[in-house]
Amino acid sequence: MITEKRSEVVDARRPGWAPPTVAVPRRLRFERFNQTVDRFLPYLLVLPAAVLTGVFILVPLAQTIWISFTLGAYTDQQHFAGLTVYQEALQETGLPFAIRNALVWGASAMVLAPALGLVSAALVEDGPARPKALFRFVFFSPYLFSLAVAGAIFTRVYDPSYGFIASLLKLIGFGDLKLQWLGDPHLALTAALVVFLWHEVPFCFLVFSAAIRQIDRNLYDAANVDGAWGLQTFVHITVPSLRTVTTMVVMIMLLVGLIPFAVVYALTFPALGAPSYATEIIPTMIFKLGLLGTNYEEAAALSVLLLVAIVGITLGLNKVREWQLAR
Amino acid sequence: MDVTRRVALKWAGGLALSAGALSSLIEACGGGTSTSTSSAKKVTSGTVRWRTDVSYVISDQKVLDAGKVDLPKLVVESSPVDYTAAGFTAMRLSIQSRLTDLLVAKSPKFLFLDPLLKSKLLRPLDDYYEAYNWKHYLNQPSTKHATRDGHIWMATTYLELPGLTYRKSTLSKLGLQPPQTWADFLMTLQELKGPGQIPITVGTRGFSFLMLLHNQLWSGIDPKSIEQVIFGSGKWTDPAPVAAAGAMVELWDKGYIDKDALSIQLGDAAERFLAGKAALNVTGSWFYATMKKQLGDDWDMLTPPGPGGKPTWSVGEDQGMVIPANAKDADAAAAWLNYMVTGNGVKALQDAGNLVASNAFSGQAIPQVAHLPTTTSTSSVYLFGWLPTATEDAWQQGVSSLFDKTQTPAQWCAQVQKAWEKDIANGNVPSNRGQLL
Repeated sequence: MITEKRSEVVDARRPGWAPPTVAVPRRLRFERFNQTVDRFLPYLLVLPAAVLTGVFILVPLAQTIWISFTLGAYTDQQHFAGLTVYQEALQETGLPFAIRNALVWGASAMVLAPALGLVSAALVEDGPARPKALFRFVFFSPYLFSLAVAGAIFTRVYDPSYGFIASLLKLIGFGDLKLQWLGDPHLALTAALVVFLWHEVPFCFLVFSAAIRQIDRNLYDAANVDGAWGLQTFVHITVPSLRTVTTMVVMIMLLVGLIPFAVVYALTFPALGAPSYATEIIPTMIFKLGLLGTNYEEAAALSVLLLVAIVGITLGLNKVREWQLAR
Repeated sequence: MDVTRRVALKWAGGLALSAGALSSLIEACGGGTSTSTSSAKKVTSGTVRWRTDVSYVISDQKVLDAGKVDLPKLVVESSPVDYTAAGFTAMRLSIQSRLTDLLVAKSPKFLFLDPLLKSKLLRPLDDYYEAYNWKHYLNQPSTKHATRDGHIWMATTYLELPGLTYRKSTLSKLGLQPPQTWADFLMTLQELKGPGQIPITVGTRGFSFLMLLHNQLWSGIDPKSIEQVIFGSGKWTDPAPVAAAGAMVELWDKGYIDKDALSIQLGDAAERFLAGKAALNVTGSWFYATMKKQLGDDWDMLTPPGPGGKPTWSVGEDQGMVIPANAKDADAAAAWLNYMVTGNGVKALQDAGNLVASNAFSGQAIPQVAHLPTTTSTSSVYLFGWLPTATEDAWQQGVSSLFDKTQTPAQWCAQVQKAWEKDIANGNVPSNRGQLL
């Protein structure tokens, strides 16, 4: 056996020797090529997005997490500090206000924006208002502005002496009221929330408006035959038919409502979150600590905590959605 | 080469490219800083990418126009990074990405000299100070404030002087003079309070310029106290700052401060003043140019006395320029900086109504500016504006709580002191700042 193998090796070294060829049909080769392409093509297509995500999200994310556990970031004295930075970040004066505002903002965004959007969509799509296209445009138009622009517009609207609201109050005889919308800590959050809702309700309106048009009209006709009109059809047909869409809109609004940075920035920059932390939110704290200032470590720690909270909330909402779909 | 290998090679190529891009990005974000310095040379040509504070754009354009005539071979480009909106991080990245050769680092005492030095991003200016004889032009305290470890790192170009602007005609009609005592001040405000006229307007939304008023009242009570906070062991909870906060509350309670103040911005307050709806406006030297243009000679500025004290101007550095360690052409940057310290650039700034830090054309300042203190010891009683970030946030956030009485002046000052200590601990305030005096 050994001798035979040796002789084969020797044969293989002999000039002119060639291994026995097995003819592969052309069609089979083409199929193999296709299989290879099929195997790698998805990776190739995903590659640019993966690289971009890696460079612009994963690398900064890893960097942020690392910074949050260190002291002396961006200097040659950077060193691991365990949870020290987290302890300090949790003692920031503005944090309790930011958490309170996040809860108020998140709840308002989750409840008020979808509710107002749904009612306005139902009024336009099922109501007597004509022409519908005009009403659709009117309700949707605030969304054409960016949140920052909306904020800038409302700084004028809120001027206590010369603003739009002040003029209205003057017209009805309350000219001396001079409400300090953005200056009074008791009013500032409400004022900021109004800007947010003014901008986000149109989004909800748009989604609900499209969804309402998908509802089977026969349901309404049948209800009408049974004597149900207006509010009854809204409660018993429109609202139940939009259950899945509503869940999605509520989820989006909650997530948007947790980081309404643009509104607060436009209304309060450079003293972000003023007055008296009334409009403070965690993103403004991060911005002040890590961008306007040099406390990168605490900014990173708060960013990580915010990320964890948002991921947690998203997972929770997904569970709710799955449970709802399974019902 | 079969398809698998070809694809594998493409993958490898793609990954290599990605890694290359990543390393470039990382280099741009942090690794691209050179700390090498070359010997200083006096030049008249080169290219400078210059970045100043946005609020000085109009003045800066005048300097640029003058510079084109005087230094035709020096190309001055505006760096595209605006770090007004994104603060120190944008500043750091603009240096690390080599987007600027000469930039404003605000005030040498607090913003942002120490963080920039901690990150080893700056080039010492000692040689340029020597070569261009800047010591002769720039005031000694400012130079000292910009000195760390025996090196000068910044050249101050602008000073800032907070005050209450007024129309000369308004005061003279009522037979009033700038007040010299607290009682005088209250009497003046009472006289100025009338139908359709607010005694004092001030913008506080966004950034509370009450900070200037507090600063002036504080220096009007005890200027040494401010100096001790900045350079010594003084605290924000000392009697003078607490009393100054109390004085602000008194002015508010008596209706002398615009009730809209909590909702309006600096520009709105200026409009009220220029439209004659407010007699006094809490502002600063950056407003000279506007007043000069709109009110001709019918304006001036006063500083109020604090309770138990007398009017004491508080002046200090507003804007200082630094040259990055990795500047592409540091000599050209220094040449342009020199133009704003000794050349006609100073004159252009001064003619625009600014309070310049250089004495190059001090004999030619406008009358309202000429009599104001611009140099020496008074600069050390200055505390406005560029407070370190944590202190400023605590100041800004808490001030409105004084007026709705949710905090007493002592509580508010304690809150600011806590933030001040944090800034000291974080290195935003130099720990050995006593040596800067």
